[in-house]
Amino acid sequence: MTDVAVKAAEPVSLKGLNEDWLAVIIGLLVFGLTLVSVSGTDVLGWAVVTSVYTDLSKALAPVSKAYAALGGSGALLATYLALLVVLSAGVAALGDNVRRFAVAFTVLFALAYASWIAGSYAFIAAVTPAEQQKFGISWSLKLTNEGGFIVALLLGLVIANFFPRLAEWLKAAVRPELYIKVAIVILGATVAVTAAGRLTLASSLLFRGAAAIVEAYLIYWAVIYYISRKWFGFSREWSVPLASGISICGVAAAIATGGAIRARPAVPVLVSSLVVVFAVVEVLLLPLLAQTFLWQEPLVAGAWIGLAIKTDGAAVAGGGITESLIMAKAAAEGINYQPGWILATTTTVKIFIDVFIGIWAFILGDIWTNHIDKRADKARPVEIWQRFPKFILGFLLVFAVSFWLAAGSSGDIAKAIPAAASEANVFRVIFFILTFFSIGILSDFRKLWQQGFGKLAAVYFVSLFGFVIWVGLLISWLFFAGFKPPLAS
Amino acid sequence: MTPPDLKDEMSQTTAEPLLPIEKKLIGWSLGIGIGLLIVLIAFNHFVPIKL
Repeated sequence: MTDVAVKAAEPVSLKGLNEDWLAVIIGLLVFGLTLVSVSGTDVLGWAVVTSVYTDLSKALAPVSKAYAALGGSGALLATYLALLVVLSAGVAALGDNVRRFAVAFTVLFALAYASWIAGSYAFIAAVTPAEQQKFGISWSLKLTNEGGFIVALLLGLVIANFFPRLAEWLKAAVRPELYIKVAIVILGATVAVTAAGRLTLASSLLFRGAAAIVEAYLIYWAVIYYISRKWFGFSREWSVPLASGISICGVAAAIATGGAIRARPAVPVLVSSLVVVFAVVEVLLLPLLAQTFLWQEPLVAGAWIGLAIKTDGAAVAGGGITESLIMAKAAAEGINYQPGWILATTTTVKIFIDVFIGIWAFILGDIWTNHIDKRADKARPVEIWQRFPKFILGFLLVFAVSFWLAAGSSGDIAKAIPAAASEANVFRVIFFILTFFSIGILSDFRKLWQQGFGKLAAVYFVSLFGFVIWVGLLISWLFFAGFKPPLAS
Repeated sequence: MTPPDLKDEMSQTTAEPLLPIEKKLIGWSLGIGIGLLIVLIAFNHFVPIKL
């Protein structure tokens, strides 16, 4: 993730394109094609979906019945080819080696989607007693079929830590930042359709997302910077990216603020490696804790995941797992929540935090170049735009168009939008799977340990488990406790 | 710069004392942050989430 993140944070390349913009283009392409289906022509119905199964031959199918003739295998092949073509074109536009990417992506997609299929096995995914009965099984892990994300992450971790050569070879296609940004752009449609159904609740949640900005930038950052400087004796150059990585949004923030204070490039990159490793631990741990202790407060859980898990990929994907786990537990208790609200809360919190990265980086850059390192070239306001995460523009555009169509258009179009959004959601899930697997691949725990970054990890550990998680929980509780998602009709 | 270089650098670096500007940054951030949170919590109390 680190190398990719560096590229994403750099100014736009000579060709006028970086990974951030590429994510916007791919996300808008998927969204644009799903909008075609509103007019009655289903152009993405061939995309593959996986159902919970005991008979593998029944696991896969095209998302639309109009493409039933393709069968599950045909839909999987079509999905793989479409992704291969689009992503290879993107990689070519970025100026990277397309051939290497295409070969590595083929293996990456195969392993990642195999994990997803494995996660949909009924003994892993079936949730309710009715489902267990349907599949003729007496027990299951009740992870929902989104447990496949965890399987993908674990498989990635196994490869990274036990098959380092394979992990290294796969890295040509390991682009978690790109995958999650595409997913977030696409997610804009689902969030908009969800919000259009309950406007007042959505606007209330939106306002409360503002608390996340205050918490991440003004409280977390200040405390962690102090801990790093005062308790652990780190220099300013290390402390700024470290505090930003732990408190704001992981990799992107570490890179952006590291660049702003003119830190050597290797410093934020190494901090980013640490961020990814801790994000993996959190994504494995926090959704299960949320399911156990916060299942009666789903929106608190959603906000908490957004505030506690760093890196966009892990946080938003963690929100998806949390939603599945909590909805499963609630369903087992006879409560059926409308899907989308927990993930929407996590995403709102995360997007709000992301929006201000550029401004915060500029403030730090201004302080550093004017008061601390006066020899460095001065911070310029244009850096706010340069460091602004562009995929957020894609998310907002998709959200705005979908919202307008769902809430402000004629009856037929408004009725067709939820189906179109759910078709787009198929690709969101696939990009999530690729993200999880890629994060796992990048998490070589041994390598990090060998490099002797135990002291950095100690700052992260103390800050995360001693402060960030608990303050995040407190704030989430203060703002969201007592309010539940609407019940499914 | 390689990771081993950075490892050595981290073990050898002498502590840099907090400068007044850093103390100001930490203090102002926390002050404004806690103040804004109190305002938001009050707003949340008087204008609760509407279902």
